[in-house]
Amino acid sequence: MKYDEGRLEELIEESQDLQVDGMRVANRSLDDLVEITRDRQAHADPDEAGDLAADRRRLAGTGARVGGALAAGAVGATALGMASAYAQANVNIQALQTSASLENLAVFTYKTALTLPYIANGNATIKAFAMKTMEQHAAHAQAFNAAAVKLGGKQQPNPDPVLAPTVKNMLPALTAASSTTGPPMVVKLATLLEQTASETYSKNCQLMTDAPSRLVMASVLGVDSQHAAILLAVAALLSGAPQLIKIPTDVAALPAAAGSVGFPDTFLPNTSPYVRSPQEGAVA
Amino acid sequence: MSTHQPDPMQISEAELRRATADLDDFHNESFPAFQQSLATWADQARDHAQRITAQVASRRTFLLGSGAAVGGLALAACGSSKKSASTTTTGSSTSSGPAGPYSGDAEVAATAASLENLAVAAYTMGLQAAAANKLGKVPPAVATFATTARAQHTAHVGAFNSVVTAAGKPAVTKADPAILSTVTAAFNQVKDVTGLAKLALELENTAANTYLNDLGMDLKSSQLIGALATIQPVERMHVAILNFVLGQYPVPDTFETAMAGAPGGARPATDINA
Repeated sequence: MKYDEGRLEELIEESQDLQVDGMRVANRSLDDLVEITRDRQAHADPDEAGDLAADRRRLAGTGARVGGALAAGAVGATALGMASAYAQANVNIQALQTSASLENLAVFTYKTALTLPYIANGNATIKAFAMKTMEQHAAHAQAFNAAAVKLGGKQQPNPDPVLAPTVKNMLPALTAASSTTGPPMVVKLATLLEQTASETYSKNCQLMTDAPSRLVMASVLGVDSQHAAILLAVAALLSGAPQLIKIPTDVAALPAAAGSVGFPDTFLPNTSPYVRSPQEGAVA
Repeated sequence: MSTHQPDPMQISEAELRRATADLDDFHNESFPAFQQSLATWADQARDHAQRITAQVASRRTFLLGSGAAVGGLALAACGSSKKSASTTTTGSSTSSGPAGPYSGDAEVAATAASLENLAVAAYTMGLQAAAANKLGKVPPAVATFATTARAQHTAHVGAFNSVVTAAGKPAVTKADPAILSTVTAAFNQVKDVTGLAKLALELENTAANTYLNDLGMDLKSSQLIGALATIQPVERMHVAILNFVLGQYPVPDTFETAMAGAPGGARPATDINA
C-alpha cells in the first residue's frame, strides 16, 4: 500500500505543539474543578450531600445497576465522616475514575493490537494511527486520574472491570486471525471502545453539575469521537478499497459512502448500552 | 481534485440569509420525532428542576429560619452561576415570546442555532455551486459529506431552537450576525472543492469549539447541556473526516480546546445580539 510516511510524521509532529497547549488548558480546567468541589465539600451539610448523591445516582440511570452497591455504601458512610464520605459518593470522582478505566482499556487494546503481526507489519497508516491514538488515550487517563486525585479520590490504574474481560476474551481470536481477517476485527474492537468512551463522556457531561467537570469531559469527548469517526471510515475502506487508507488519500477515488460513514448519528447517542455508569470503574 | 479553475462564486449576504430563512420551515417540519423526544426531555428536566427547588427550599428554610430568597437560590444548587443575566426556564413550552435580546442559556442556545444556520446555508450554497459546475469536478465522497452534514446541521438547529423557544424566545432563523460578513467574503473566494472543504472545516471547528466553550459555562438548562454534549462530538466527527479529505492528520489534538480568538475558535454567546 502506498503511504506518505514522511508527511504523516510531519503532521504528527506539528500536532505535538498543539497538545502542549491543550494539556495546559485541560490542567487549568482541572484546577477549577478541584477548587469548586473543595468549596462545596467545605460547605456541605449532611442532608444536602445525601440528597445530591442520591439525585446524581438517579440521573446516572444505568449506573445504579452496575455500581449500586458501591454507591450505596458510600452514601451510608455519610453520617460517619462527612468529607471523606462525600468524596466517596461524589459522582464527579467516580466518573473521572471510570473514564480513566476506559482510557486504560483503550491503551491496553491499542498496545496489544500493535503486537499483532498484521498491524505491526500491515498498513502503515493504520499502525501510525494506532500508535498516536494510544498515546492520546494514555494522556487522557493521566488527566482523568490527576483530576480524581485532586478531588480527594484515588487513581484508577486499571482497565474497566466489566469490559476488560470481554476484550481479553477476544485476544485468542485476534491472535489467530490472518492478515485479511485480522485488521477488520481490530478496527471493529477499537471502534466499539471509542464509541463507548465517547457516549459515556457525553452522558457524564449531563451528570456533572460543575462546569469545569463538563469542560474536561467535553475536551476528551471531542477527541475520542474523532477516533471513532476515522475508525468507522477505515472499517468501510478495509472492506472495499484498502489502498485508500493513506494520508493524503485519493479523494476522487473514495466511494461516495466514505463521505458519511464516519458520522452515522445526527446526535451522539448516550443512552445506548455502550454507556458505562460512573460507578463502574470507580475506586473505593 | 480538479485542476479546473472556475470563476469564484459570488453571493451576497442577503442571498445567504435567504438560504437560511428558506430552510427554517424545513427544519420545523422535518423532525417531528426529534421534537417529540425533546419535549419529553424538557418535561423530565422540568420535573427534576421542580424537585430540586422543593428540596433546596426545604433545607434553606430550615437553615436560615426564613423562606426569603429561596427561589433565587434553588437552581443554583444544580450549577452555581457566575452569570447574572440568566433568565432561562426549562419549564416553559412557549414557542413565541417577546423579541429582543437573548440572555442566559437562551442566548447560548440562540447563538448555537445561528451557527448551525450558517453551516446549513454554507453547505447549501456549496452544493448549489457544485451543481452549477462552479467548483470543478466534485468527488462523490465530498458531495455525500456535504449533503449528510447539512442534514445533521439542520437537525441541530431544531435542537438548539427548542431550548430557545422553551425559554419563551423566538426561534433563531438567521445566521450568526457577528461573522456572517466574514464567512460570505470567504465563500466568495472559494474556487474549488478544496477551498470549500477548508471553509467547511473552519465552520465546523467554530461550532465545535463554541459548544465546548459553552459546556464550560455555568448553564442551568439540562436540555441545553444535553444538546451541546450530543452535538459537539458530531461536529468533531465532521472535522475528522474533513481533515482526512484535506490530507491532514485527522485527530491532531490530544485535548480539544475552545481556541477563542483563533481562526475556527469559539464564538461568544453574545454573537446573537450583535
